[in-house]
Amino acid sequence: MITRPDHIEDYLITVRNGQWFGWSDHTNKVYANLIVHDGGRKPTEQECTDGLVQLQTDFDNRKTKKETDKANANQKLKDLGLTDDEIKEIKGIN
Amino acid sequence: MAELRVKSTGTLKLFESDNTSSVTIASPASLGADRTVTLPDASVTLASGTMLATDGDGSSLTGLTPGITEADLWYVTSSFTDSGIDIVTANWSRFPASLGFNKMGTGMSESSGVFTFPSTGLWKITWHFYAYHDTDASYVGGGIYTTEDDFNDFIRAAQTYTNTLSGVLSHVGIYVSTIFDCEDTATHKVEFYTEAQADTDFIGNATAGRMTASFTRLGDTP
Repeated sequence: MITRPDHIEDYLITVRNGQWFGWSDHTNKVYANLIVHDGGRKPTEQECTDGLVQLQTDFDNRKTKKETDKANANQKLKDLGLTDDEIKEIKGIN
Repeated sequence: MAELRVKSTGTLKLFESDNTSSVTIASPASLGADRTVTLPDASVTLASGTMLATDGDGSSLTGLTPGITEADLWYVTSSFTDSGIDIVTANWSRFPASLGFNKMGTGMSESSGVFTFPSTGLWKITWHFYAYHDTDASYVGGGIYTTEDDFNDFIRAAQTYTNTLSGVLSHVGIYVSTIFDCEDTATHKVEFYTEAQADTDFIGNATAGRMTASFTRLGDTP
C-alpha cells in the first residue's frame, strides 16, 4: 500500500487475485453492499474489519521502522564524524 | 452599372452544342423584394442535385451528416490484485454525471467486460489505467481486444507494456488506443485486459477515473 489503508476494499484485494468482488452500489461501498463475482467465499464483516486493522498496523509499523532506520543511519554517520552537509552529499541531497 | 432585364418571370436559356436541350435560369414567379445573386471571384462547379440554402452562418443547412454522434466513457469502480493476462470483466460503470460526464448518443452496452456498440461505424477506442506494485513484477501491460465474430476469435487491436522495478514500489500508467471498424454490432465487439508478471494492484475507483475506456464514433463504416 502506498497510502495508509482506510477501507475494507484495501483488505479485499489482498484476499485473492482477480476481480472476484464488487459492490451492489459502487457509490456506497459498505459491507452490506459487498458482492462476490467468482462464486468463492465471501469474507465475513469481522474478517474485513480485522483485515483492515491488520493492514493499518502493518503500514504503521513499516512507516515507523523506516523512520527509525533513517534516524539510526544518520546518527551512525554522525558518530563516524560526518557533518550534516557531508551526510546530505552522500545521500544526494543538494 | 449596365443591366440585362428579362421581365415577366424571366428566364435565361443556355443551350447545349446541338441546341437540343438547355439549362434554364429562371426567376421565381413571385418575389418579396429585389434579390441579388453575386458570383464569387473564383471558378465554381455546381454538383448535380439540389443546392443547399444557408442563412449565412450555415445554421439552417439540412441534409448533412453530422460528424460525431456517439461518445461514451466507462470506468472500473473497484481495485483488484492480479497477475498474468486477464480481461477486466467486472465492476464496469458508465462515468457519471457527478464526475462531469454525460454520454452523447445511445452509448455502449457492457456485459461481463464485453462491450457492444450501439451502431456500426468507425470507432476510436481508448483504454487507460493506473497500477502499482512492490512485488517481483518487472513489467506491467495492458491492451484492447476486438472481435469480428463475437469473440470466437479475437484481434490484438492495441497492446503495450512498461518496465517496472522488481521488488521496489513502482507506479504504472498504461494508455492504448485503436480505431475499429464495427461493420456488424452483433459480431464486432471489444474488451479490455490487464497484464502483470507478478501480483500488481490495479486501481479502480468510484470517485475518480483511474481505469477508463472511451468510445467515440468517428463516422460511418468506410
